[in-house]
Amino acid sequence: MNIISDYSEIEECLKKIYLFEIVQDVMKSIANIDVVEQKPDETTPINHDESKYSEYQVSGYVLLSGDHNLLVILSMYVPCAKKVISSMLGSSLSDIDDESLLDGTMEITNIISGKIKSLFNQMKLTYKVSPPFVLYGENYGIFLKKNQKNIITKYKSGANEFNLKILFL
Amino acid sequence: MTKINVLSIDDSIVIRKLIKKSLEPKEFIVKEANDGEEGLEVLRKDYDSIKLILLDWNMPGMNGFEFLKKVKSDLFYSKIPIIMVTTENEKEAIVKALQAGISNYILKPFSNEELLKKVNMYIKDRG
Repeated sequence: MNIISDYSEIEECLKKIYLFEIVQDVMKSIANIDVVEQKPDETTPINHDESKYSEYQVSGYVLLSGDHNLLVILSMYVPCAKKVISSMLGSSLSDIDDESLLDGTMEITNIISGKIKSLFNQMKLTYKVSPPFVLYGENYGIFLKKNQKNIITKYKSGANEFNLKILFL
Repeated sequence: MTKINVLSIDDSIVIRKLIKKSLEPKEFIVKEANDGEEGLEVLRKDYDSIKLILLDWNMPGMNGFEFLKKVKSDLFYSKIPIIMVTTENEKEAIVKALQAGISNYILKPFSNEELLKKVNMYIKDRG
C-alpha cells in the first residue's frame, strides 16, 4: 500500500482524477442529463470554497476513510434534485416525493463516491466507503477543529446548479 | 409472451423503481424487497415463480452476502440465478460474491439495455 503523507498529495490525486468526468458520466448514464462544469480559472483547476454554511437544500454525504479521511458531498437545490431523480425514473416532477428525493440523492452520491474510490485504488490508495446519508434543509454549517482544505467543483444543467465538494477531515 | 417474475432486493427505493421501469415494459414482473429478510419472505411465498434475483450488497438488516449464503444453501432456492447490483467501489465484494455463487453482476449506474442484456442471459424459458 502506498502511504500518502499529506493532503497535498491527495489533492494532486484528485486533480488527476478530474472530478468533472466522474460527475458528467454518472449524470449522463443514470439520468441522461448533460452537465457543464462552471470552470474556475486555468491556474487553479480545482476551486477552494471557504464558505461554512450550505446554501443548498439537499446534500448527499459519503465518508472515504483510509490513511486520511475525505467527505464527499453532493449538494443540490430541491428542484434540481427532483429533476435529476425524475429523469432517472422517467417520471414527472410531481411524482418525486421526499422518500425518493432523499434516497435518490444518497444513491447518486454513493455511485460518485464509488467511482472516486475505484480511481484511488488504481493509484494504489486504499479507502473504505461509508453508507451514504443525506442532510435535508438549508443554511446548516459544518465546522471542523481546524481550517481544513476542501475542493469544490460546480456544475450546471440548464437552469439548475449543483456542486460536488470533497472535504478533508 | 409469458411474463417472468424477477425479485429486486435493494434498500434504495429509487434503484428498485429504476429496475421496474427497465424491466416491466419488457414483460417482466418485478417483485420488491427492502433487504435480505424481506427477500427471503418473497421467496418463501413465490419460490417456484421467481426466475431471477437482482441483489444489492450493502443493505441494513440482512445484507446481500448473508442473503446469498442462505439462498445457496437451500435446496428450493439455490438454482435461482442471482445478479449482484453494486457500485464500482465493491471490487472485493464482487470477488467474494462470485466465489459464493452469484451468476453475474452489474455496476451502478447501468442503462436499461445493460440491465436487460444481463437479465436475459439467465431467462431461457420465455414463451
